[in-house]
Amino acid sequence: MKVGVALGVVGVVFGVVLGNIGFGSWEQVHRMFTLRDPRLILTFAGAVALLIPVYWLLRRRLSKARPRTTWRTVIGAVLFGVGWALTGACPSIVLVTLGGGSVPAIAVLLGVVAGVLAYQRVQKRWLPDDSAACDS
Amino acid sequence: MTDPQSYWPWWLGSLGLAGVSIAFYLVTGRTLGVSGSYDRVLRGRRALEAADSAEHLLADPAAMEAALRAATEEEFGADAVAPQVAAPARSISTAVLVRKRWLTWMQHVVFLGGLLLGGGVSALSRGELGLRFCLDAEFGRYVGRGWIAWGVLFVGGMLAGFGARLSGGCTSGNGLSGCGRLLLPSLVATATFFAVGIATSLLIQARAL
Repeated sequence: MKVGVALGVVGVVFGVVLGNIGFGSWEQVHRMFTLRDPRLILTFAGAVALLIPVYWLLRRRLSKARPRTTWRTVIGAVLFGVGWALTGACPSIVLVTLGGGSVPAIAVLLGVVAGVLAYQRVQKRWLPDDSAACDS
Repeated sequence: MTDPQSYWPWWLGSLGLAGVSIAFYLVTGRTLGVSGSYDRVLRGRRALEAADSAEHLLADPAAMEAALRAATEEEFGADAVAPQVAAPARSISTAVLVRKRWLTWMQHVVFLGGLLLGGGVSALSRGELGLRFCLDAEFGRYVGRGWIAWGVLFVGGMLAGFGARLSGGCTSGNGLSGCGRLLLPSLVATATFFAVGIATSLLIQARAL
């Protein structure tokens, strides 16, 4: 229960941060990808730069499983990159824009849900020994 | 178009994203990853609970061994898992297995619901909250309008969802958490999806001009 409430608060703050950064705007994301505006790239790189020493200090407490780099890593990232550039949304962003009242975000969310469900089918049937990097 | 000045400067955004990542770790003991939460929620409550229950493992010696190996590897690294290690099943107490820090189905739902609510709060604070039926004007100009736009959004969402799961994470799981931990697959995935995003966007732009 306590974890649930805390996780809800983290989710809300995450949504506010993403929204106020402008990651939820198709135009802002498009400006980032067409290299017209470095702000979003800097935001992302800055966050990673802050997290590297933090996760290094926590390294003994974090999962020590070392996921391997395979064709799945690359092909998946290619599909993800096309999807992100087309919709301006990744799985977390689509919830943020939907929360802000965007109706087209419904189409993107349905797409993401369909994509995740499709992967579950494909994985079960053809890709055993699934090991994802961000299993939380 | 929204005035870009209404968004946070990059350094504040960086602090926010890093802060959220750390808060997520403090609450769950795991690193942030949103597409993983989608996966868990869509597996359904019952399937998730069944997969997590110790009874399920106790009924199946092979699954039990696999789970113990995975847990050992997660806790102590690949070196700790010797190929011929076979722990006697009788000495394992159920309590050890149940104490996995997997989030419950409802916790994943609450987290994703929080994102939705946070999006609303953010839009409210910028004076943008309200139903909007069109995307940014630029989207219409570059990609299309009407049914084409809805189709593109659905297919794009599908590619993002499928691709994130296939590559093991999305912008948060691979991009923030994986890169922050300097995991090779995450670095490769992040470099790839940024490069492909840039190429796709430049193509979209070139097509519209």
